[in-house]
Order: sequence, then C-alpha cells, then structure tokens
Amino acid sequence: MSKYWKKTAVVVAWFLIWYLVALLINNQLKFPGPIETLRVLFSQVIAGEGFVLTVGASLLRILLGFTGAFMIGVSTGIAAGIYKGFSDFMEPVVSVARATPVMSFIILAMIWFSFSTVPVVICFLMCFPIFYQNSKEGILNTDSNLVKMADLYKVPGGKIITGIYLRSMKPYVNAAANICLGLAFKVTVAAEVLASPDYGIGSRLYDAKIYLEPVEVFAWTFVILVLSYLLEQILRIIFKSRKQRSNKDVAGN
Amino acid sequence: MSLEIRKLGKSYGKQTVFENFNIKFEDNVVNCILGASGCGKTTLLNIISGLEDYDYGEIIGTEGKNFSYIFQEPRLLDWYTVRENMEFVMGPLGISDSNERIDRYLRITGLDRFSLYFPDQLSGGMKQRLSIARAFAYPGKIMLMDEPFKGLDVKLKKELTDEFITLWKEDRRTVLFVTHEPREALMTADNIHIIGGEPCRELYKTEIKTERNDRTEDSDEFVMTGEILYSFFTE
Repeated sequence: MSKYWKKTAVVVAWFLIWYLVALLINNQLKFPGPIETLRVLFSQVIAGEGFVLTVGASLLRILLGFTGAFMIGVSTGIAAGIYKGFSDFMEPVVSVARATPVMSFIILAMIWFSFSTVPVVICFLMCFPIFYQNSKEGILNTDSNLVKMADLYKVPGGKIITGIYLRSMKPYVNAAANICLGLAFKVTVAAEVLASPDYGIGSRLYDAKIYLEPVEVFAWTFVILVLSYLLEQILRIIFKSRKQRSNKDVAGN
Repeated sequence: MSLEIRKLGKSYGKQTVFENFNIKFEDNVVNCILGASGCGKTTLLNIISGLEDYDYGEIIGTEGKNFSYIFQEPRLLDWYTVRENMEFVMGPLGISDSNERIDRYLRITGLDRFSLYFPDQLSGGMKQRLSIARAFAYPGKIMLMDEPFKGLDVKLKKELTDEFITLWKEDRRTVLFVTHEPREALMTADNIHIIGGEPCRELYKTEIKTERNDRTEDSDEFVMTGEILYSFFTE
C-alpha cells in the first residue's frame, strides 16, 4: 500500500470513529458528527457571507505575527549566539515571554492595542522566543573546525556567516518554524476569540459559542486544521534543502 | 626565504609547550614533523598558520603568504556540493582562474564525475581526496598537513599518499607534514624533523636522499634511518 493510501486510510478510520462516537452520544448540540459538520461547513461556513474575508483576516494576522517573530527572533538569536553580552541582555525578556501565560498577554494586549491587532501581537510574542532560542542554539552549535578552516583559507567574514553560520543554523530554524506554525494558529485564533475583531475565525467561533452552535465550532475548527496543514506543506517546500532534493547514491573510493 | 621559527614560546596556563623553540624548514620540499602524540605538533602548525597566538618568538618566511591546510578530518561543508566546497575557499583568485584550477584538480583526483555530489554522498577516502584537491587548488605557498591520513586503512593511505606526492611534484610548495608514524615520514618526506620533550624541542633532523619511487622497507636508507627514528619513540 502506498504512503498516500495509508494516510488516507488513517484519516477515514478516524472519521469513522468520530461518526460512531457521535452516534453513541446521539446529541447534535453536544457532539455533532462528521456528516452534520461537513454539511454545515459547506452550506453555512464556506457558502456563508464573508468567509473569504474571515479566513483572509486570520491568515493575514498569522502570517504577520509569524513572519515578524521569524525575522526578529532569528536576527536577535544570531546576535545572541555571537555576542554573549547581548544574550545576557535578552535573557530576561525571553524568559518572561516563555513563562507568561498566553491569557495574561492577551488581556494586556487588549488594553494596549486595537482588537484586530491583538492576535498579531500575541502570535508574535508566542513565536518569538522559539525562533530566538533555536537560532541562538544553531549559532552556538556551529562546528568551530569549519570556521577555523575558513579562517585559514582567508574566506571573508560575510561569506563565513552566510556559508557556515547560517547554513548550520538552518535545521534549528526549520524546527522552530514547524513548531511555531501550529502554535501561531492556536494562539491567534484564541486571541481572536477573546478580542473578537470584526473579521477572524476566532470571532466566528465566539459567535458560535454565544448562539450555542457546536456544529459551527466543529466546522470552523475543520477550516483551521485544513489551513494549518496547507501552510505546513508550503513551509516544508520552502525549507526543503537542495540536498534533500538531490537523490544520488553514495560514491565509493 | 625559508620558513624559520626562532625562540618560540607558548604556554597553556602552567603547561609550557614551547620554550625558546627553534626549527628551520627548507623551501619547496616535503618537511615531515615527526613526534609522539600530544607533543605539540598540531600546536606548532596552528601557530605557523596564525590560527593560534604565541607568547614570544619570531616566525620568519610566512609574511604575505597564503596557507593551504589538509586537516586530520576533511572539514567539508555538508550543504555544498564537491565543487562548491572548493569554490568556497577560492577567494584570492579571480573567477576564471579559480574555475580553471578547480577543474584541473577535480580531474586529477578523479572527483570531476562527482562534482555535483554532496560530501555525505562520498566515502571517507573520497572526502579526504576532496580535501587534498581543495588544498592544491588554493594558491597556498605553504601547505600544512596535520596527520591527514590518520585512521585510514593501509591501502587507502598508500593511495592517497601517492596521489598527494603526484600532485605535489607537479606543483611544488613548502609542505609541513605532521605525523607520528616513522614509516609514513620515511615514505613521504624529503626532510624529517623529530620533535618532542617537555617543553618541546627539535630532537633530530635528517634528509632522505633516496628517490621516493625507490624507497622500500628493505632499502638501506630506510632501514638505517628507520632505526634512528624508532629509537626516539622507544626511549
């Protein structure tokens, strides 16, 4: 059985389990089944008014928060990996960002920022420490023997940074990006639920909760899962190295 | 001007590696630096190349010269192809000169067929061959070799040593070849310098006159010099 069919079989099996559990509970208000969820997804959520705007607004917030955290986290992480003093300076900020509950940040952000900006800020704050820490680790774990080799061959400093440090760091940033993408969806939607901006998946989830529409909550969650999966695939393509694409045998002596 | 070290001093904390250390290497020949493990051979190479500082003394004959280095491990960039690994260090030359030299040494070492491979797609021997090709392609007047064939099997070691000598005969440079194996020194060197002791000093120097092709384990010079060399390791 090919990898694709195996994955499909697993998904179908879980849909079946979901269907059976829903059948057992037999209460659409508490636990809607997959058929009802898909019906609402296509008839009300996707076909409903402002679907593109809602999804687009959430995606934009996720991308802004994620990209901002990527850019600032990676650049400060590199600086912290190179300069110990900067690392010491950043340590309290990063520790606070890592340890503070996301709810505290959301509530504070709601006081300081507009409701549509809150999810972006929260996404940034949650992803930044991960990008920072991993980039710093990547720099610190760069093979010093390679740097010595380059120094000896008088390779210019800029080329050593791009050709050795940034390349050594790539798997660490890749791992951070994978973790952050999932996290970005979760915290952005959570912030949207609380801040309830005009457009956003979180706002629609909040509406569904107010109007006691669990099937709509399920349908929107389904949308989040699909978007998260698609973005993960795009990220995988971006980070795929030339080496992974190359598929040659090992050459002998 | 030959490479000369005068009254060199180097300590790590309380441990003195060199104290008024003197040594002179002949130009454009293979100078083997033979010594027991841990006696300071690698430190000496690192000081000559500028990778490590020294406390006092003088190093003459390295001014304005580039170094090529063949390390114990190949030190290749895994994310670059064979060719890109060579291109990475070729800064001092123009692009067309670089390409010409890279092509030449890839061809001579038989790596031209693998120029688009990544290092982890090569065997250990081929990686070290690439490291040798890189060192020759780079315009280093002085070539430093730090036990480059250590840990390789006998057959591969001989293959790579022969290949190195072939390349060197075509493009003679001052070579400082560090090893702890008298046999390797006898087969490769023009001059052998034995260093050792605490602090480290030059204990003995000899010139090997027999042509490399005529050096066999039962040749007179090999046997006689070999006995002397081994005596420093058994004392």
